[in-house]
Amino acid sequence: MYLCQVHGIADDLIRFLISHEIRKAEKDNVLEASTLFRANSFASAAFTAYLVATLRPFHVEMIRNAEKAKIENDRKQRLEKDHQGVMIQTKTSRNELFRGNLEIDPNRLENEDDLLVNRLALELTCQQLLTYILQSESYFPIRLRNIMNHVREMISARFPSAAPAAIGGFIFLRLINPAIITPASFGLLPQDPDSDIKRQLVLVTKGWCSFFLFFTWSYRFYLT
Amino acid sequence: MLPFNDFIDANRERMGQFFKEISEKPTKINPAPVPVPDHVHFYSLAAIHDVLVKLKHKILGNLDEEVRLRPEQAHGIRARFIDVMEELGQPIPLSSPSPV
Repeated sequence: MYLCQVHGIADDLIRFLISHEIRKAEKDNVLEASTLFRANSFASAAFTAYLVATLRPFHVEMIRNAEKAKIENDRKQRLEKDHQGVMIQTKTSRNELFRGNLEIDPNRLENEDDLLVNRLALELTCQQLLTYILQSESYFPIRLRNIMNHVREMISARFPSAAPAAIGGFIFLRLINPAIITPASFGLLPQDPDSDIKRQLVLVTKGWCSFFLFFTWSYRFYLT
Repeated sequence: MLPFNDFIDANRERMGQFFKEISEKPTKINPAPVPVPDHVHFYSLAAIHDVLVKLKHKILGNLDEEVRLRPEQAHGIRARFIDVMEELGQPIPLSSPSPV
């Protein structure tokens, strides 16, 4: 991937690998939209490397939107305090994004945790972070739009209604979720979050996965 | 086991639109880069290396040999790199492509 990037043919390589992966699955008679690009194949590894190199502006904008919202929230809190004339110690911590525990695995709950409250907090956090992603759409790199267009055409020719699920799998499984759970490996933060915050982030990314895994739901979806 | 359907139902249309838009043939260019938040740190080693070489080894000395940096080293170098670039009044090439 490094060599292809330097010589300006990385996009061609990725298109070739995508086509090859689909044709191979078709030949092996295991082609299903819901499992495409999920395996740890050479194509998946190459695509991950490609994303790290090309998607930085999108990641930055996503984080910038989150930061803007956090600043605005802090400002509102200060205004409210001024109006009331009461000074309350503002709690600032690295996990300020998460208000409360998001854990929904009954085996991991603490005594003071309430499963329903945690679930609602998780949904709210999923919604909040998803909004930042959607707001950053215009920063989605053109090179990658072309790649996604190739995926859509390849999938639509075989499964006309499954293109969103395939694109979602590509984008979230290979790009957004890894960058959020291990930001250091994408060069976004100096180090990865500690294990507690990482667990919360994993729960959020699982929530997002519901979109492309069950994009045409005709049944109820359950998250554990 | 917990139902997660409210969230899905509320965003199904928006996500569909998002997937559709990012997979259409691009007809316009991306917006200009925006300022990077202070807490976002990039290890664009290629960009750092290029500028260091252009600055004639002003910061780190001889960089003729291949540079292999751990993330924490890159983090420190970036901070020093930005200091020097700001002193020189030059734009910081954070958006430079970083080969992987």
